Amino acid sequence: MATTARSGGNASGSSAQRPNGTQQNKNCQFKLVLLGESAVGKSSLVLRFVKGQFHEYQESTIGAAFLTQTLCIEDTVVKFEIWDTAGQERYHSLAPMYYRGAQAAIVVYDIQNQDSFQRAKTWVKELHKQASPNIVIALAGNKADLSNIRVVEYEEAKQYAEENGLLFMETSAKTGMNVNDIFLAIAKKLPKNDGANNQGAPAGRRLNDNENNRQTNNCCK
Amino acid sequence: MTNNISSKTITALDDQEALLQRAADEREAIFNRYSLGLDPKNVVDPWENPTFELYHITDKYGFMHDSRLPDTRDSQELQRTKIELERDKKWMKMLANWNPNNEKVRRRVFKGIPDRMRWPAWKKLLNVDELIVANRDKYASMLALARKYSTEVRQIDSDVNRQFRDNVAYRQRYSVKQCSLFNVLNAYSIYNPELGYCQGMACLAGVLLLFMQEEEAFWALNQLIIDRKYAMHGLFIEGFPKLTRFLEHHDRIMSKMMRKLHQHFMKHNVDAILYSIKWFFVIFVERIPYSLALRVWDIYLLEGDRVVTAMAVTILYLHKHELLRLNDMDSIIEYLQVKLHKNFGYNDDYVIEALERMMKKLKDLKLDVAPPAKANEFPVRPLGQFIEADIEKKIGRRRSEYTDNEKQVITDVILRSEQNAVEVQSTMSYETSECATGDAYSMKTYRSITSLATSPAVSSYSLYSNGFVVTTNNKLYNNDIDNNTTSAYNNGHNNHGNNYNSYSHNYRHSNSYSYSHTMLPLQNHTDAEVDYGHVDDLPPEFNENDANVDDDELSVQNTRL
Ligand SMILES: Nc1nc2c(ncn2[C@@H]2O[C@H](COP(=O)(O)OP(=O)(O)OP(=O)(O)O)[C@@H](O)[C@H]2O)c(=O)[nH]1
Ligand SMILES: [Mg+2]
Repeated sequence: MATTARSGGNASGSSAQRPNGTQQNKNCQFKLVLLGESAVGKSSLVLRFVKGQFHEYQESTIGAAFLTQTLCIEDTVVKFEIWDTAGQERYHSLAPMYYRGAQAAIVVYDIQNQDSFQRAKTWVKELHKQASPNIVIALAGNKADLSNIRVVEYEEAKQYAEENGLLFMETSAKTGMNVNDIFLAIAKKLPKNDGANNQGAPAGRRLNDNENNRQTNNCCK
Repeated sequence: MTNNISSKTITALDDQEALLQRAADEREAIFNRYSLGLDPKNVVDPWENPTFELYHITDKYGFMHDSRLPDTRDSQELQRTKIELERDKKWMKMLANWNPNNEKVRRRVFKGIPDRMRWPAWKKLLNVDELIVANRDKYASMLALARKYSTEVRQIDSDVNRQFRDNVAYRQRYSVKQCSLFNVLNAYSIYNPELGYCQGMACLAGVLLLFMQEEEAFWALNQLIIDRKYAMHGLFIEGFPKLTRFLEHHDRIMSKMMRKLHQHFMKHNVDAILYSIKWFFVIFVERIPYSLALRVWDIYLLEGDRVVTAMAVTILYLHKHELLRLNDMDSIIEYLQVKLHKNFGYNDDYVIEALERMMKKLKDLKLDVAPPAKANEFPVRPLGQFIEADIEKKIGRRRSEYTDNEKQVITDVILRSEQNAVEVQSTMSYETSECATGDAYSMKTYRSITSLATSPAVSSYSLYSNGFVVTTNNKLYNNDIDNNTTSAYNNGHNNHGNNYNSYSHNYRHSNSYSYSHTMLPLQNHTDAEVDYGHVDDLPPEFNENDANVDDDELSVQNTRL
């Protein structure tokens, strides 16, 4: 997967530089939200993707955290605005605030925890009902490094993902396996056609995204 | 939630038995591990235990840092240690004749409780010793019940495993403090079943336990949650009613005192809920440097939740110019969530002085206290009476529907951001200078705000499909149970004009809140530089400009009114 694409990785600064009319790069910005049961590794996935690190003692998320990361796909610079939400059920009511207007979501479960997989399914249902109709959803079976003690079978999750039109990968925030790849796969699936906005100025973009305008809702030139 | 049990088949009931058993086994297993604590029989996955790296430097609060702390700290530290020794003596005397209403106490708390005195001082401020005497054996019995009945074990366990692992006290898996934290939180979830456990409480208890013993921390936590002065119950219960109330109040202050910044935030969709949850939930821990957070805690424990309101505004005030220069949402949020934690840019004393002045200013403007709480922010049933959880909770099954409470939150949260947008829009149309230039940037902003404000069909799309109804906003302050508070809120949301007039009056004729040169002596710059390596957010024109900026804002508003 994603052999032609190069992750911005840690060098996001260079890939994000603004072309001054000389290059033909397109700049796109997407809002992405992470959802899933507490302790499945949402924050860890984001940390791995954004900083290339893994902390065993990653602090639990209160409310939500916000980070950004930039990827390059061929001639397009894709910037993700990432909202990492808190997994405890009590924070569930704040989630719509974060997935409202999101163009992409990663729903995470822990492959050693059946409940977290059920929970992931509930999130997918909610997104299908409540989020933007054209949202790109990826399912991530995290902690794949612990696959010797897995409870959720790969095939089972894959089949579920196919039936529901989701991207699917098993990931490991710990080893880094498939972490960049899942973000890349999402970036590829998102529409990157030229839109009305220019310069990638962020103002207003999110709000416009609420409109059900499929053509122009998320890209900038 | 258990009422449709009749529709379940026998197998489902068997399943339920199995699920209950599974939950019980899990609870038992987790508790056993904490009982064993550091016993070598307690086998810990190697990955659960970060190795001790001795080259790490541990600061005086026990937090470890990646590199050596700068040497420059040493001389300063020495100086401070000297001062603290003097203060210790004064505090010992003061604690012996404790009277929290004494002006001397107040003054000294604002100066910062000396580190060694925090244990006795916090206990006094939170009435801990009295509570322990009055509730003999209560903690032990709650803990025993938790062992049998806690439904929050799994969440608490996974949060304890992640709380302050960069502090020596919590670094080792099942260390004494980790076990205490686990116990306190589980016992508390039984003691206050309407609250249970909410992420964020581990952080509060975690801080308390750095200064107290287990049982003391339990009662201290209870004070923070129950005592009307702090009333954090309403922050952490389902639906977060107090959070909503405080955010509304925060917005209100922003729109009156820092209009420009407020509009700047709205322009970039930076709703307060996105940056301030930790400010309210854990009193700034991990959002500002730990030493400063402790200073804020000192004052919070003395004065209660108005401190949080004031500190939130103080942070934004002190960093206003920097924030105004940041032109997108991610840099603004990054600044508030990450940068200020690493380097606040001002030394602690300076910030606390600013906080004190802000508290005074808010008081003058009658904005120091948020509108009164509704009944739903407080527990209904008496505390400490054991109630067995329902089956769903025991099994740990998730609800798939939002409760009415939650629907209300979603509606409130979204409404609030839309109101803000409307307000900004209405102001912007008067800010001809900004709009008339017609540059792509402001035009786009304008358009986007319009799209949000004027097309509810679009913005409320998701709400309607879930059966939420977005109502108009005048209800906001009308249902207060506590009508005896005569605040600016009694007339609801619509007396902007009046409030505003008194505000501008105060503002223009009062000097109490001007950050004049004398309040930001050059020496502070130097201090800060020594302290933090570099300071890039003290614009040279900080002081004079400040008054001007706000004056501009006022005149803009005057035109509008
Ligand atoms: N072995 C392994 N452990 C992981 C992996 N990802 C995360 N973890 C661990 O799982 C625990 C929870 O990870 P977090 O990233 O904090 O989980 P979260 O989903 O953000 O949890 P909340 O913030 O509570 O919603 C941490 O102790 C991580 O170290 C992984 O890929 N493999
Ligand atoms: Mg997290």
